[in-house]
Amino acid sequence: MLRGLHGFHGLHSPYALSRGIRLEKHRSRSLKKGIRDIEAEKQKENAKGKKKPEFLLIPLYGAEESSARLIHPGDRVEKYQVLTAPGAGAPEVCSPMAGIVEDIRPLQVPLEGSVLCARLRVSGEKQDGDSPQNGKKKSRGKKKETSLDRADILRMAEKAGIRDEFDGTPLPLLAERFRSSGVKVLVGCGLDDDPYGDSSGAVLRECAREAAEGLRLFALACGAQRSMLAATSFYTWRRVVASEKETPVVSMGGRTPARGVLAGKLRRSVGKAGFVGIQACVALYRAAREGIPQTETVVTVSGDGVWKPGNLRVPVGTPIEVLLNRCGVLPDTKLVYIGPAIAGEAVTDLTLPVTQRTRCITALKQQPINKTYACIGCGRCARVCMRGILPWLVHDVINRDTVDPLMLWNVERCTSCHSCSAACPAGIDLAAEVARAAAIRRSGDFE
Amino acid sequence: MKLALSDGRAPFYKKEQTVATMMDDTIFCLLALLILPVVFYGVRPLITVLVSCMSCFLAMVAFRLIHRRNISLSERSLLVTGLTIAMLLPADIPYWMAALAGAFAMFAAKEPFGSTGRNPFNPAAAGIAFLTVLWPEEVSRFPAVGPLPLWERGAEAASSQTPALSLLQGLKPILEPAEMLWGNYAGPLGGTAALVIAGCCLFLCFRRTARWEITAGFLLSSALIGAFWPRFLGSAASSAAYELLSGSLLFGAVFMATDPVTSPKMPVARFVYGMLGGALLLCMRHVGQYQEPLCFAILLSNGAAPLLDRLALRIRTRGGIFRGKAFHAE
Repeated sequence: MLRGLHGFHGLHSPYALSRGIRLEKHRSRSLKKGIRDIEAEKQKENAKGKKKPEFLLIPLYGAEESSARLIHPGDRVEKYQVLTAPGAGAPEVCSPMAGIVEDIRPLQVPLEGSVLCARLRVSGEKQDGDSPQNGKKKSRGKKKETSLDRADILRMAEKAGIRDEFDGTPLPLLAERFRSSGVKVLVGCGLDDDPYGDSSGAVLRECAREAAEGLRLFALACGAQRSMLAATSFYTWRRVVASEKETPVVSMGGRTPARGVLAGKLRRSVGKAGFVGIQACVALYRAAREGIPQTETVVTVSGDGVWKPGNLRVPVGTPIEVLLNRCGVLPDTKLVYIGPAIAGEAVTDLTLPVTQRTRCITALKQQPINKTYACIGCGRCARVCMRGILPWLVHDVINRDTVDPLMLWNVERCTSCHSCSAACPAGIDLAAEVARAAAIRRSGDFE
Repeated sequence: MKLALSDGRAPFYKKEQTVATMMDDTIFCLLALLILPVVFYGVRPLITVLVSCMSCFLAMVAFRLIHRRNISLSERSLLVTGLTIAMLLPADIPYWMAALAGAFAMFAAKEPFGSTGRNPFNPAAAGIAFLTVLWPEEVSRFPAVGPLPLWERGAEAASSQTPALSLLQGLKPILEPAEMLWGNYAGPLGGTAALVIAGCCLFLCFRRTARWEITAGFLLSSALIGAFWPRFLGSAASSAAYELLSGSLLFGAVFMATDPVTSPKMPVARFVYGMLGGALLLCMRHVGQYQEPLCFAILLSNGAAPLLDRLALRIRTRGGIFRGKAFHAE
């Protein structure tokens, strides 16, 4: 049942209640303590004289062509300096810190594939000469918030380089997409439907006010009539409701895929829903208010491989190992992965950077092993699918000698949420089979 | 710090519910169901269970050796089959009969189709059906409640103490339905303790190991047929209560019909499947000569399961996808 949704009638449809799956949470209590600001911690340590050389790997999206780059190896960059000029509509990338560009080369970033990154040796608070608070004052062409129109907001999002943390889509593109598809209700997505992740929830708890304001701006930009905030846990919901009175807040109670389940419920009651990440909302608000670009991200570092799990605020481009060391990684850690437990990606190279899309880094002492059995026909996969696919039928049909395309029903509607694979007690990778079925259906090769 | 990291693939979490834990749930319930028979009859039920499980295991090993397949020692489904077979037999059944039923179940109904997940018929029902056809008297001769000798058969219970037999003869059982709840009367080993079975049903449905649609459909159709066509002169309610409590109907509705492998996968089809099972059982009780034709009802409805799935799919897709093509759900 959705808590706190006054004014959204018809959300209690019994048809929708049985969709999605609940994954057992492994969240540590220390995640509730609040977001740790790594930069502030470092400044304290620097004051004590424990300074270490450090570097960032800043992803330069949309700057694959050298003409789109504004920096070259050896250049000195200042904090918030624009690094790329990718052209109209695409967001610019700003430097999170001052330093010297050492190298520019493509890296295999987890979840994103090959991304061109600039290696920045961080140096010189002295050139910058000020704290981040002073930096904020050097804002670029800000208007008074209330007089902003759609074009202003989009331009601001573009200048600030804001990306949605769920899929890495630039905010102007997302706004255009929502506008053209007629999104009725905009959801500020503070949902962590992962056993370990809590970064969106942490941001929502700490910055509910900013998030609601940013969401309001984004709703204006994409033409949505209503907006709401969504939280996973009741704990977060309570904290947000206490501080944010104007925007409705829902709690999804830890269902996976929370976004899909909520979208289905909203579609039946209000209309088409669009989702925007809560960190992107907060970044949009700060860009409007203070004129600072999105150069920081909040990442949950969790799992039994770290002894001090927490939500960390770090500059984009910080190597993964810095975060792990901050949280006390244990020497017997065997697996580190980025992203959700259902569909994340394992990392072996810990020098790779954190991007705006990185929401959770999990360190485990051993990889969980799930034994595979034959399908016993329990039907859980069909029960959890919110797109009306029957994965057991797909599994049955696709493993025959000749595939009947007429029986691969609805497979093209799959959103790759992987909840069927998560629900399957036999450990079959049903999401992969549905994807294969969709490919077969598209290709027309049925032999 | 240098870490030795492995390169794994998602999913990165341990599943809470796997096929093995579902089997464990069922085994746990079947073992819980064994407590009262041990209190009533002594250790003999335990030996019967042991014998049937061992015979299932040996039959599985023999079949796989013959067909050169891998033998897995962690296979739990044979324990479920062995326990279910023992639960449906009289407490003093000769051990060789329990062993034979177990061996038949594995050799004829389970392994030839490719073991767990691929058998179209419930193996335990097949094993019991085999015994019922060959030795109907032995299978329906239930001992009186009391400690049993270890080797010979115990004294047969009076027909008045066997509600299923009274009903077959068209008589109203002497025991009141309220006296039949704890299972202290003659009947199949695990089929008499109605309250324990109800507890197991709640547990299994809560854990989603068994689907409530099947049990609900099974009980509903049995109760309706029992109420409308009583086998003795009595009120509709008492007839329905006796039909539900006598024999192994409750056990079948909770443990056998709900077997996910042999039941349909669509929720509507599951309900209809349960109703069909209950209706078949009650019809066989009315017409047939066997005291408890549960195994046949289960086997027949198993046969109808793919058909029901296909019908449900056709309704769900509004006839869109099948166009008369054969559908094999199993």
